[in-house]
Formats: sequence, structure tokens, C-alpha cells
Amino acid sequence: MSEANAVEVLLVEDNPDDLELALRSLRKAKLANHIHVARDGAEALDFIFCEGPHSARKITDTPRVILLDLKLPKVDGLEVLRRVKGDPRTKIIPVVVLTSSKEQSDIVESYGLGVNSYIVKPVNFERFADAVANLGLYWLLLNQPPKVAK
Amino acid sequence: MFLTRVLPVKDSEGHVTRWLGTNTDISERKQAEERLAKLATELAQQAEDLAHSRGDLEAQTAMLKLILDSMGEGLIAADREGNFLLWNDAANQIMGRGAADIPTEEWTPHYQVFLPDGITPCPIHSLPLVRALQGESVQVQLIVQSPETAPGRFVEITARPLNDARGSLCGGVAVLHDITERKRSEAELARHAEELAHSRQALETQTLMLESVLDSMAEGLVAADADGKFLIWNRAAQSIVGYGPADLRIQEWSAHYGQYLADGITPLPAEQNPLARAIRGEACAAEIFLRNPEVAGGIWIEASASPLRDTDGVVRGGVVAFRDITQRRADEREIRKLNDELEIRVVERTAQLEAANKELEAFSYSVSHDLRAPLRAMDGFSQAVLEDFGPQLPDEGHRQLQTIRKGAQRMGVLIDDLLRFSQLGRQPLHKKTVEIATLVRAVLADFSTQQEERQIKICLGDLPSCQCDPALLRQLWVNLISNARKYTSKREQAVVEIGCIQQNGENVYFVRDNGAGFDMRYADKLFGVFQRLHLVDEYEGTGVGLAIVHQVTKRHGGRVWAEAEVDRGATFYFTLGGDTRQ
Repeated sequence: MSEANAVEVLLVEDNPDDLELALRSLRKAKLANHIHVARDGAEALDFIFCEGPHSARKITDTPRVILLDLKLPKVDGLEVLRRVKGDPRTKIIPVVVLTSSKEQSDIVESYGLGVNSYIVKPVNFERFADAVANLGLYWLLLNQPPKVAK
Repeated sequence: MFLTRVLPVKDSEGHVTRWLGTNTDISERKQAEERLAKLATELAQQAEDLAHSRGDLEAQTAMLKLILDSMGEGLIAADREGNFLLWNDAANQIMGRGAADIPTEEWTPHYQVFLPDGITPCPIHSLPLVRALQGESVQVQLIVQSPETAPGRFVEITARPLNDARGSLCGGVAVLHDITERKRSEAELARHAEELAHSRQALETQTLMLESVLDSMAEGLVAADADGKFLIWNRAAQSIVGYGPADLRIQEWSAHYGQYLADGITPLPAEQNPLARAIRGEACAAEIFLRNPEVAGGIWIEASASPLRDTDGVVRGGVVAFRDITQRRADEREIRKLNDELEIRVVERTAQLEAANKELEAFSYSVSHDLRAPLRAMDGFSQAVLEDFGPQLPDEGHRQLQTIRKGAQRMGVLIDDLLRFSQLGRQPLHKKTVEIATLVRAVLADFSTQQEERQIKICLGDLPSCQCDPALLRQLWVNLISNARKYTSKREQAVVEIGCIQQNGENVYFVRDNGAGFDMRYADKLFGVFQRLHLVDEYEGTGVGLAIVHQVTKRHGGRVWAEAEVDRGATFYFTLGGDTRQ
């Protein structure tokens, strides 16, 4: 698989407004190439573990970063995080929780499960856009992922 | 027969001058002589007899003296004139002195004779022997108290007159009997008798008292000897047990008095009867159920028994004290029931509370998560419109969109503050010693990084350490200090004073500013959630800051209050409850 076609960002977000704003921000930061969107936890797991509609995908084609909302239909974000970080094949994928929740328990549990970053979505759009753009920049451009045998 | 007698007649020179002779018929004389001779022989015989009988008499007298001297009683005899004829050894002993050749008048002083009172010397005419010499027969008791008889001798004297063969008074005799010992015994006996009477009376009083004490007791008291014979059975025992003491064998007690084990059903085994156990030498306590025809419905008693031991520690019986605990048991049952109900209620309430808490958490989670999303959309898409279609929009359109954004953002702040406030009540306190001075300096340092054009003069006083939750205290100081900063924002020279005073032994921290102040009439609204005393246009804020301060002090067991005057500044005071001092 060519690097060009590789999914760079898996964006897991159920709220269409937040999704649109996030995509807009990523786009503005010129980070919108190869974004895959999952609208709930189950869809995200299917994509990551190449199941269901994504059975053709290879699990080794890991996204470079997963932006994960916590409050999701079907399977919630914490469960997705648990599965990703609990599987040796996927645990190296950086996961950034991007959520409205400021609940201490969510933050503690996320870090306990091995989240790489925890961002609270601000109401203020500019700050939201900045956060998304910075995230993308950091994880896509600056962060050097460990080499994985493919 | 004749008798011739010749007698010479002599002259003055002694010469016989003549002879003179007579011739006498002596036949008669001869007879007379013979009679005389016979008489002389008889006389000699008599004399011999007399001599003989005199020896006898002497022997008799000696014997008599021996007898008299061997007598225990003193014997004294005197003739009519008071000369002592007889005074035996015992009399010596008793009177202390021997017979003295003195007139009767001196007897009393010489022998120191007193009347039975031991004080009055005996009058002469009352002396028994003197009275006997007067012909009286007497028996009296006197005391002889001379140096020889010290400490005195009690003597019983029987005296009688002596009459000769012709019946005329010729003397008196007194028999002395030393009754000192008897008197002493009598006195002793009398004393004993008196003591006995005394102790008997005391004993009776005691017994009476004991009985009334026992009968006035609310507790039943029963004592029995080692054979199970009841010695004590007080009134309360009678009324509690229903029966009085019965002449039974120990083995029959339980059945007779209707005693059951604490389950109320099993008859009390005879050997488990507390009194029976006490008699066996065992101290014990037990709850027993009593049901017999005399106690309607049955009663519960609590009994404690212990053995009765004599001074040698040998068990001589047992005593059991007991009281009616029927009511107490009922009360206890009622209390247990209430407690159980209470516990169930507590469990229920706790569950309800936990459920409510869970709901609240879910609610605040939902608020935190879901309420902000639409705000983001409002703010985000307004911004998107401005970015994408800005050039086509008139100025008024720009302003209105900015207003939408400001509204959304303010609502976001409100939501955050509200969540913070609601979390405050739920999270547990983690108290430790906190250096308030250090904490306040850190808070002030955070503020100083914020750009500020005006001058704020901070006066930091002494701030003692205290026991508190550092995170909550930090929040409290942040809120109070930012409050002070906010309301002095229109002062050219803002002064904020931070310190601590002692009031009733309590640390009272305070933050004083020279800002806008407020009208004390509205002071009660200061600490309510979303309560504000100023317009948002004047001073921004959500009205949660002081509510949080109030909540923090309340959770520490302290309080917060303020003093202010419009345009003259405000002072906020707070305490942190009892155990804040170091």
C-alpha cells in the first residue's frame, strides 16, 4: 500500500456539527488528506480491526492518529480506547481523546487505558479550531511513530 | 473396938509434965474409917477416871480445833462480854486478821468492815456478832476491806446467840462465808446478761432493719442454706416469683416455680437453677422465664447468684438476686425492631441517595457533554459564516453574529462554573496541613502573569497554616482574590489586603479591597448561586464564585461573611471550622 493512500487520521465523531467543524479546521490546517470518519464506536472498531465492511483492509495499515470522542452510540469511546490499547497490533497507534467531557473520572480512566492525549473541546470556535489544528500538526507531522514491521 | 490415945502434956520448957490418955470405943469409928477408906478408893477411882476423861476431853478439844480449822467457813464465837472464845483459821483468812482482845466498839475500825455498798463503815450495832450477843439471829452480807484483804472481800455472815444449859444467853457465834468469788461471778454474769440483752436488742434491731431493707428492695432476694432450705425470701421475691418459699428439694425448684430457659419453652434443668449453682459454689448470672399460675402471662427475670461462704471459705448456702426485666426485654425488642427498620431505611435512603448521586453525575455528564455541543455549533458556524461570507455581510450582520458568539461563549462559561460548583459538593475532602501563606502567594503569582495596565497594591499579612483540602482552598482564594481584583477594576490605585485575625480563638482569614463594595442590605444574596449584586455590563461574572467560596467553607465546617459599603470597598471573612488551628 502506498503511503499516499494510507489513512492518516481516523476521526471518530457522532455529532455532525462537531464533525463538520473539526473537518473544517483540519482542512484549514491543510491536514485533511486521508481522513476516515467513523460515526460510532462500532464503526471505529470495524475500521481499526478490519472487520465487517472493512474486512478487506489490512490491520497493519494503522492510521497515524485516532481522534476519538468519548460519548458515542453503540460502543463508547472508552471501550474503543480499551480495545485499541489492549491489542498488541494496535496499541502503538496514538489516540487523542477529543471530548466535551471535563469529568475527572473520564480523564483518569482515559489515561489509565493509555490515551496519548486528552483534549476538552472548547465552546469557542477559534480555540476549537486551534486545538484540532495543533493536534493534527503534532501527531501527523512532528510525532515520529515507532517503525512497525509490515 | 476401942481406940486408946495418950497425949503428952508439956510445960513451957517443953518437958512433959503429964500424960493424958483417953480410951475411946472405936467400933463405930472403925466402921466410919472403913467407909472412908472405901470412899477414898472410890475417889481415887474417880480421880483416875477423871484424869482419863480429861485426856479424852483434851483429845476431843484438839480434834475439835482441827475440825474447826479445816472448815472453809470462818467461825467466830464470843462470850457475852465480847471476848472471843473461838476464831478459826478460815476466820483468820476471811477477816485478814486474828482475834484481837479489843472491845466490841473497836471491831469495825479494826477489821475495816463496811456495808455492802463498800463505802459506809458498818455501825457497831449492826455487826452480826454484836447483834447475836443481843440475842438476835441474823444473816447479812458485809465487806471486809483491810490492807490484808485488799481489794476487799464480800462476806456472808450468819450469826446466832449462844444459850447455856439453863437457857440464858452466854455468848454468840458467827459463821463467815467468803462470797467474793460468787459475787464476782454474779457481777460477771449480770454484766454478761446485760451485754447479751444489749446485743440481742441490737441483733433484733438489725434483723428488723435487714428485713425492712430486704422488703423495700425492688430486686427479689432469696437465700438458701447448703441443703436448699430457704433462709431469706423477701417481699419482691414473693411478688416476682408469685410464690413464697416452699419446703422442697433443690431438684424440685425449677418445676415448682415454673422456670424456663431464655427461649421461654424449655424447662430450666434443675442443675442450671442459679441458686442451685450458687449452693454448689458457682457464681453465675442467667435470664430465666417464669411461668406459673401466679404470674399471668409469664415474666422474664435476670438473676445473678453467688455462693455464701463462711469465714473459712466453706460454702454454706447461696443467694440469688433477681429482677423483672419483662418490660426491658420488650423495650429492647422494640428498640431492636426500630433499629432494624432504621437500618433498612438507611440502606434504602443510601441507595436512593446513591441513585440520586448517580443521576446527578449522569446529569452533569450530560450537561458537560451535550449542552456544550450546540454552543460550539452556534459559535463555530457563526464564525464560519463570518469567514466564508464576511465580505457579503453588512456591518450590522457582523455585529449580530458576534453577539450570537458572545452569548454562546458566555453560556459555555456558565455551564463550566455550574459544573464546578456541583462537583464541589460531591467530591470528598482531603484534609492536610496547608501553609496558607505559600498557597496565597502561588495564587497571586498566577494572577500577576495576567496583563494588567493598572496598579494593584497587595498587602499580605500574617497567614497561619491550617488543616484543609488544598485544592478547595486554592479555589477559594482564587475566587476571593479575583473578586477583589474585579471590583477594584475601576480604581486607579487598587489596594487588596489579605490577612488573618484571631476571633474567639479562631483563625479568621480575610480579603479586603477598596473597590465598588455593595449595599449591606443585599448581603444575604452574596453567596447564592447565580446571585449577583452588579450588572454584567459593569462587572463580568456568572455569580458562582462566591457560591463556591461559601460551599468550600461550609464543607470545612466554617463560614464566610462580608462587610461592605457602596463605593468604599468590601471585606470578605472566612473560617474553616474547629480543627483549623495548629
